[in-house]
Amino acid sequence: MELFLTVCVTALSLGLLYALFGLGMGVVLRASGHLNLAHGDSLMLATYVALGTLHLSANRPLGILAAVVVGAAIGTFAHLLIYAPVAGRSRTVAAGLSFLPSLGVALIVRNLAVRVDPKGSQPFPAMVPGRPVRLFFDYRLPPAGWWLLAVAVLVPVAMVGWLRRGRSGRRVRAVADDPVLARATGLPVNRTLALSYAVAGAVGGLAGVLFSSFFGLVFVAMGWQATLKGFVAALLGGVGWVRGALIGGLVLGAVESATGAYVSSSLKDVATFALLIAALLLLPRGLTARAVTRTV
Amino acid sequence: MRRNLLTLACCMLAFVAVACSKSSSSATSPTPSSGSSAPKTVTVALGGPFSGSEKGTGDQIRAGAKLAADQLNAAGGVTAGPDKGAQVAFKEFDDADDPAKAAANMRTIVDDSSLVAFVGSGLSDASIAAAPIASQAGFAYLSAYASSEKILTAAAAAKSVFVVPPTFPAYGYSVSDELLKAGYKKPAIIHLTGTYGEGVSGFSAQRLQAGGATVVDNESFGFTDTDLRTQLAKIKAAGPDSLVMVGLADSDALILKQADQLGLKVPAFDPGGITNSDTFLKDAGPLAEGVVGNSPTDAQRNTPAAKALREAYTKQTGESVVPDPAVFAYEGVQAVAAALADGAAGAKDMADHLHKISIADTGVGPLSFGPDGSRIGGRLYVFKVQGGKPVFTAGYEQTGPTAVKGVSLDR
Repeated sequence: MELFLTVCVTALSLGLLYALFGLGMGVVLRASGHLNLAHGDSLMLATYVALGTLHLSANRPLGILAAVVVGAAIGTFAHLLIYAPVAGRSRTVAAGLSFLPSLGVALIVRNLAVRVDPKGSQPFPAMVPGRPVRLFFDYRLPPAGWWLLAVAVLVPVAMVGWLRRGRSGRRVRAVADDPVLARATGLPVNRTLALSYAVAGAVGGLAGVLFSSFFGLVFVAMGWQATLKGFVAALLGGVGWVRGALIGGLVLGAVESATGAYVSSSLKDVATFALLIAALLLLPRGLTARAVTRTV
Repeated sequence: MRRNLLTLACCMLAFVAVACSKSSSSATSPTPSSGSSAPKTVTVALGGPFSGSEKGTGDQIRAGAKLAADQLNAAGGVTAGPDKGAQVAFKEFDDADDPAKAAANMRTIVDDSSLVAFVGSGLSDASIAAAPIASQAGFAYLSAYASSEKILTAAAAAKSVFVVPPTFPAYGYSVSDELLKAGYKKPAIIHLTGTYGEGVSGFSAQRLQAGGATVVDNESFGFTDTDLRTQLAKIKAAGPDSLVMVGLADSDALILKQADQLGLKVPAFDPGGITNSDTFLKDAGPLAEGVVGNSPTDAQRNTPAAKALREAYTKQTGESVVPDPAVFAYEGVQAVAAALADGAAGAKDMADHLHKISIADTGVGPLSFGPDGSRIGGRLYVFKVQGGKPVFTAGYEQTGPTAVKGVSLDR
């Protein structure tokens, strides 16, 4: 029973983190059709910036704010300076290779991080004060766990509100639905896409701080890990705005934890990708897709 | 405009070409010279991860090797043999902890007639890839940090491969013996995947079972895994009385933190030589208290050579503890110099002479090599973390590829 309950808590906490990783990737993918492979590395660098800010000021809210701002800035500048110009000029985009520039940005960011932290990992302080709370048997959830739960509820709610009611959010949706029509009606498509990158980067920065605070560690390789998990979560749930990434993340967390506990810890990644392939074959629009009828 | 762009492109190409040529290999002082007035120089290939995520290990290898060379050169260079009086210099080869790059470097090294031996390498996978190439060429290869016994078995052809640190069996056996001595009978193991984690945990399990213990669970995790709660929950469900963890400094700290979160409160043992590091002690904090680990170096060892090594390293680097990669690179260069003094004439018979050398005390213990290239006399000192510091309690000495014996601490 204790093992089962531990697996449930692990599945939920991992699932929520993956959902937050997936939210950022999903928003960009949905808005621009662009797979941003630099998402994880950007959030990793933003988390290092948060750590640096904490070392300098010991002000936790400032550290979180720094991660959010840096995450948003990396996303925005990468889009404005690299992705958008390349998309406008290169034929690789037509060949379906639009992810290549973001792969380049990911590698640049990773190399930069290795120079900042040659050791490759640093302990990360708990961002929320307080004592662990006993959940069941001897299991004690650290304060970061409660914070993760709160953020994982509030961020998607805020994003849904912004996309449905916010003026800029509605613009992002309009550009995602039909960029040609959006441009024809005078919407600033490029700036709107930059905004989607900024929001994705900000959510990523927050997710990075949560991840590191939960595990007490920030490390260079977490960037690629976040990209991979976020991508799987976004695809598994169906590339949508919010719901897909949430459901995809939770399913991914559950599959990983259950496989680790009841099959073999060495097969966790195998199970993850087997599930993704199965989902792509059987439900190509993801777990949350609804039937769409088109008249042609 | 077009001409300016062309000029700019040429400049950039030239810059890239220069940068590339510098990054693949570089010579360090004293620079080899063919001038008649310059002192004679023997050049050793120094390899390791001088860039990338393991750069810290590479920097330590470089610091240890440089210290040995500086001491030798200050004392007049090679003490005897055909190269008597020669200064020791290095040519660096960066493998970035990439086995393919380490193998490519080794192909270059064995074809370079100016090099007399190779000292270095970070993790075992890079060594396992490169050592067979050296072995086939009969070129002396001294692994200065990687300690898998597979380095030797993969490169047995010409017996020119040497592992300076104690090998995995010695690491596994020393701490396992301490666990058994403490009376624990139901240990569980959690280990990193890959050559290091599987090697050390495998020899630990073997020793524990041979000593009458039952390994109640054996779990693994990957290099980038941060959530080890499912593995630890399974271990807890198996009811162990002790926990053997074979990870790196940050992952061992994660194991302790997450075990504490799950309420898994059993004594922890680290046979991988990891927990005697500031990184682990800082990351694990109070949870490090009571952890039993091992280390090839004992900071309290009180022999003239040990004190001299500590003082010289502190003077050179400003660090109070001599890290393992630095220690073994230091010893590797000492071994090459001893082989030259023994009569080795360059690379061609270096391996033969390395098999003959015997150094009474390099600073961490006696050094000689067995017929298979494993170290004879390599020490592992077992400690328990008390008051946030490792307190050494026992000594073990490697007496063969898969044998250790207890030795007293040199106090």
